[in-house]
Amino acid sequence: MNHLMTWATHWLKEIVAGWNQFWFAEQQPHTLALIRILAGLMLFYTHAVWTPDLMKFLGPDGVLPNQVARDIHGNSVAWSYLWYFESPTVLGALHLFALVVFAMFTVGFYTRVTSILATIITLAYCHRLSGVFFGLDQVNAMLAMYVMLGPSGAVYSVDRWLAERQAGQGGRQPEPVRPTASANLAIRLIQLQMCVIYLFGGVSKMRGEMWWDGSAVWFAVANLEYQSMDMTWLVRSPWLIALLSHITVFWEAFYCALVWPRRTRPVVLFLAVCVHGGIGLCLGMWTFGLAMIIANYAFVPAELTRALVSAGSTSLRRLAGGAGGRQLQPAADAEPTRKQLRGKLRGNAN
Amino acid sequence: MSKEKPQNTKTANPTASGDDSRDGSPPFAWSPLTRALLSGWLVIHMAAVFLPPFAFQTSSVPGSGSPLAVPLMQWISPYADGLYLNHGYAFFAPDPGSSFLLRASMEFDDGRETIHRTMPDLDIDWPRLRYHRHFMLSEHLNASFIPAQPPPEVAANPADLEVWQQRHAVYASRREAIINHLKKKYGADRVRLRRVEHRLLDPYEFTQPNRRIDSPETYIELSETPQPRATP
Repeated sequence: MNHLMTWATHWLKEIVAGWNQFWFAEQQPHTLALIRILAGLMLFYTHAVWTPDLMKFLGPDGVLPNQVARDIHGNSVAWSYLWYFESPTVLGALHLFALVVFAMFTVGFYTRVTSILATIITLAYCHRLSGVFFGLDQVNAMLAMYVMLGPSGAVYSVDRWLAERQAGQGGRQPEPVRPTASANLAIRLIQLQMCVIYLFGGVSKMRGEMWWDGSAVWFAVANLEYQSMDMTWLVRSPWLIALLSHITVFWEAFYCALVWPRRTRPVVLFLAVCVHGGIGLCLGMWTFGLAMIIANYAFVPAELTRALVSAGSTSLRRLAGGAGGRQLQPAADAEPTRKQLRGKLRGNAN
Repeated sequence: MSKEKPQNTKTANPTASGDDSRDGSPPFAWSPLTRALLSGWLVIHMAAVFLPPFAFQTSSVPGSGSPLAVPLMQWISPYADGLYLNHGYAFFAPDPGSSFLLRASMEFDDGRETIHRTMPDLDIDWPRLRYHRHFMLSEHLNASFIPAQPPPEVAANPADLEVWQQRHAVYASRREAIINHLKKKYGADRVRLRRVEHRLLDPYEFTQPNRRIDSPETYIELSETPQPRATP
């Protein structure tokens, strides 16, 4: 009995330690910041597309008037500030404000405030226009909400650039970029929700017949309303259709397990890029495809992001011939050497 | 979010391994109380992420489902609805199916020719996301279709009948809103709005002579008064 108690206590302690480590360990903000930029661009574009149809969808004489939108929600607590406005001038002004907020959020200007506003605005549009929304909006809302929780403006932002300039003018070194628990928390939430999305994406496909008989991908590419690239030539290769169908189901269903180990993660993420890139190219939903790829980026370690961005900006500076261009990274946040990076990645199981 | 303590860069662990108390430094930036409170919120939040698709998969018709999932879902719904987490994530599932379009005919009493429009229309709705919004409008309208006349077994049960009528009222008001919009936009006296199913060809049909994925026979006009279905 004593052995059992000791074992149970030890097991519980390990669970608590694992929980704490998973959620509350610290992480550099670089991956979160890059997701902020990419998700911000997507939010800006997604909402900018409403502009020519603003009154058609939000107006009292539109296809989805306020009362109808409320009826769709029934007794739900879903709330939107857009419920209360119907005047074209007010709706236009609110829409313009939303686009300005998304632009500021993307470049990381007053990021703490704009990230909160971006989330409120995104949820407001989602609730007001839920009769015309699809997967893209679910991912947009998820990214806005979780990016808000972390220090997404700590790097790659106007906020950071201003802080460095201010420090430079005062003859001081800028504050180094530090790892934080909130950056980790935000990334973990994106990672886990992605696992849930793919798990049920796979489970729901397993309830069908076409994903099992290997014909599902044919019926996706043969759908004229989705088609943006004619892939019906696949009809001559039924084995390829079946292969793509089966890979999709198994990849989705097992994503939640295989994305965590370091050895399988690159394969799982590569497949994510292939599947969502394919959806974007062939099924006309490049916004949804890109949004899913952005969300998958949460699995890329911050150190790798820092190295990639640093390499990318160096290449850009070289291309622009501006070798003497402004150094955005402070000394404390400088690019790690290849050897240091390898060491960090080896020790990184997040 | 609680304020984080400033960290010593030497002890802060960028690899998220975190719990390093061997050198005497605090293992986590947040206090045990903060972590306990956040843990409670995380359990609720992750339940709100997991339960909606779980409940969706256990139900065949709205309101039905596993005796475990339904009450849990009712409990978490306000939170999940508020944060726009109430989704099934059943993309192209259980099977990829037909598309549903809207065809509208705007008719005029003053002798003007009837105008015909299809929603979505790739030639009008550009860029692609704008097209997709219109596509989702027609898809969602079709998905919410409930005929006015309930089947006898629903009509016999007052509770089921009430749900049926509420759902039909939502469908009817959505349809009416689109009709009113088109009337105002075109100044039409009447608008005839039809739901159209664009059936998919299977590989065998596709390889038959003169069959294309946009062959006229693949477009099927749907009735607003079909034979009653068995369940609401």
